[in-house]
Amino acid sequence: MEPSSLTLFWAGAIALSIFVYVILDGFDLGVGVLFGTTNEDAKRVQMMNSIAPFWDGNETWLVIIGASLFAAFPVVYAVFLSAFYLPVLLLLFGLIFRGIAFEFRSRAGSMRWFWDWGLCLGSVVVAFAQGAAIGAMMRGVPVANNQYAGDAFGWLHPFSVLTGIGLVLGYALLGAGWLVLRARGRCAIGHMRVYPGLSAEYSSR
Amino acid sequence: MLKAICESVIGELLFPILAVAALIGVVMCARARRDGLPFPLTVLFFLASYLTLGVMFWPYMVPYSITVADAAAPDASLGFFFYGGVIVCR
Repeated sequence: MEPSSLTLFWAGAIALSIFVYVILDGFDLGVGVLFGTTNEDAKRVQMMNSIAPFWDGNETWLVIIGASLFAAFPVVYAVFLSAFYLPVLLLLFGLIFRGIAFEFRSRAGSMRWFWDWGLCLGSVVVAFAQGAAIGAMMRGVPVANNQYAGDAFGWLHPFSVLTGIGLVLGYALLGAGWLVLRARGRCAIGHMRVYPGLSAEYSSR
Repeated sequence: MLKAICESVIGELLFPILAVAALIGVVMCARARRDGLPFPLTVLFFLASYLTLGVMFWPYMVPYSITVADAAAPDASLGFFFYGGVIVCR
């Protein structure tokens, strides 16, 4: 059966929203991942300031994706939620923890280390959950009678762990690109040095 | 035969090749300290990878059991959301 033009419109709108989300939240999640690679407070403040105006707006795209999927493709929404309950919960807890860390960090005194790690760990968990879900989709999602036919840990497989780690590194690359773009000519932060082979060039600045 | 090979190269390998090229570009620009380029090239890498996934999944929306056409709500509902969306966006 050929999809109707309205179906194609909604599928395209959702696909575009997902891509925009991946790029926009990708760079701020990536900066969060890279947060764990430095101990210097000046760098951390600079990293946070570079994403502070954007990060919560970027996450709003998730709401658009969820709502459009629920309205236009209810079967897909039902199957995906059943198939990926655990990654989606991880994702939401990660996003919440990350948001709290963002707000509390500057106000915290002796507990600052906790929120620093919260920001980094929350970002890693969110990126990993998304990557693992993509990996599980690539392996195929078992469906019977328009309902998910696997178990709660069906998504967990060495391949999806690999894609999860891959997305963490991919977002970190986006974050690193964002930081060098924003810091151009103004400071000597070398975030690209977390990538082997790029280390010498950027750490010598 | 040649045409079929060309079509499969364009259909299945174009985006993966673009993704690899973008990654090579990221490394080269980072080494050359062209600070403005790694970010857009990483975006290009993500776009190419995303389109690779799209080619891989199409026409399935839930791989590999429910197609986009099967999963869609009735056209009447989709049209309703469409006009609702137009009003909200205006």
